[in-house]
Amino acid sequence: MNNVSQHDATSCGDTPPPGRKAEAPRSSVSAGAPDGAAVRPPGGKRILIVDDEEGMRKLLQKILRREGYQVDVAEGGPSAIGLAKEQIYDLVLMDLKMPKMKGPDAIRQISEHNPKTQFLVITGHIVAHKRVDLRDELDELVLGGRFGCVFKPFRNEQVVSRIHAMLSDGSDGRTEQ
Amino acid sequence: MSDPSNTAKHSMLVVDDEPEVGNLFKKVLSRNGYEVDTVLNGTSAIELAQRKQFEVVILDLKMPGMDGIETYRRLKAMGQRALTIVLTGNGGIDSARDAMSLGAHDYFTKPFRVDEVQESIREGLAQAARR
Repeated sequence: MNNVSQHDATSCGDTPPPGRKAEAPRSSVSAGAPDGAAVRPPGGKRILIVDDEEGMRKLLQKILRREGYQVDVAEGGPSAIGLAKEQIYDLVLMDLKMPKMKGPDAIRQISEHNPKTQFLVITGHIVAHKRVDLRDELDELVLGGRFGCVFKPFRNEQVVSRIHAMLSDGSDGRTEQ
Repeated sequence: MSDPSNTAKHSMLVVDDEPEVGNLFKKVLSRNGYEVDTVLNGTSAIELAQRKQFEVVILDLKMPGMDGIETYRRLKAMGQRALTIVLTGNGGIDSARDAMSLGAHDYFTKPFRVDEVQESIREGLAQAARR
């Protein structure tokens, strides 16, 4: 019962196949290894995770460090902006709904400091018709081609493969049109 | 890779409804100095934890009956302070996020590599020793 492959999550934009590590497990408890193409993260890429939920920050940090990225975390927009002034991030993974500062506001401010930073936003509780509103809100960034999003609930492979793609060539990070 | 001298006699409980998971950990980690108990469900884990303290718990989140999150909550309520690593089978993150919020050290999706789990255990125990 543990190897069910559920596609219960919705993501915006083209979702590449899972980009989990290519090497076969030395010891595996079950069949069902991801059969997607091997996608290795570019070395030395730095990611900032911004989420007000500690559990989510910790989880994403574990997942992305295991994939070989350098990862910092921030609990909200203001601290993220502070870190982004001191450190150039290749990608910021951000929850859109946070209490102290809205995600789009933080994205704009971080962009001012580093125009090359890409953004992957995670957001929940979005019903289909409201995605248009979300896209409008971030339209400027979408058009800039530096923005992608994943809707909750999602699978960790979706986030990992999307980040691999965005940091490989930047072509797969756009929102769906 | 973990040095057996650094992991000797660490008591471990593996809670997973797939017996091969527990068997695998028992086979691999027993050789590296861990004392591994295995159970197939949360209820059995609670019963065993009433008699024994564990330093490490490997916990499957998706099990019939009492799921992993509820098992984790009960183990914590009983005073178990084990380094806890959670396993999931489908990459769904909601339960994994909840487990991390409860204090889990790490999270792995099946199929996983035992050596990666073992390295995470070693790292977690080393962190705990420094605190």
